[in-house]
Amino acid sequence: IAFFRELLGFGTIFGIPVLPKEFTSWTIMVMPPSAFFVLAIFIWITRGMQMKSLTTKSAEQGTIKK
Amino acid sequence: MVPDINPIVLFFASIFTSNILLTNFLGMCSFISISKDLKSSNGLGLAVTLVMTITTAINWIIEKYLIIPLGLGYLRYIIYIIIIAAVVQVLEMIIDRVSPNLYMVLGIFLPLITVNCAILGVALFMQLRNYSFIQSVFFGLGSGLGWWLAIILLAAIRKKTENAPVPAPLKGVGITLITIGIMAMAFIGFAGMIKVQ
Repeated sequence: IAFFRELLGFGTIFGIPVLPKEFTSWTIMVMPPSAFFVLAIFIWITRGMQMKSLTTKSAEQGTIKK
Repeated sequence: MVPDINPIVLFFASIFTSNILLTNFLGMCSFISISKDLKSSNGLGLAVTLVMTITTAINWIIEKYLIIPLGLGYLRYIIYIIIIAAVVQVLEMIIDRVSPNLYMVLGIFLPLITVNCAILGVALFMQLRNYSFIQSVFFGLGSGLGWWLAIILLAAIRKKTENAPVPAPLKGVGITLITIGIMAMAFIGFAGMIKVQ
């Protein structure tokens, strides 16, 4: 979470500026509520992948049983 | 040394403008887990308010008459935590007697009020900002009421979003976190309105 918040909020990683100067930093990422949003997005991605693997697994088992 | 703030102003500041939960982000874990159900949120909010007010008052007295005169500053955290744990222990017994239903619903989260960082946080804020006794009591009561307000707000919103079309991976914890983030952004609008220290 800290990696994404620092990258988008300041444009640096471990204090080294990586993004070009023209990039307008996302100030919301520096404020506390962004941690909730970034965490929710991580949960979205992870659970989405888990659910997709569960449905493909049950679909395969379903066709094999038939 | 004692800041010149009217206790009533401090009371309203600790409920709205520096809400312990949505501005200072203390006391989050039971906030997220218990807000599934409005009735248990109400019970937990009441318990936290009671513990916060009583322990802030007792901790102020201990600070003034025990820690400062005897120079026990290095034992401050232990003494505060002992007071908080004792009050929570007594409160658990009372709740078990008065309302066993609430006791069962709260489960592990009732003893976990002891380590709710909002309660120790309020006591340490009180000590750091050198409040007087009246200011401390109003600050503790206001912070507790602010915590209670935030948890019933979240419980009410969660009840409404139960039937809303939320994407399947986000159901449950995900949408709760986004809701808390939006509530926190709303409370940022109050920033700087009232000086608390």
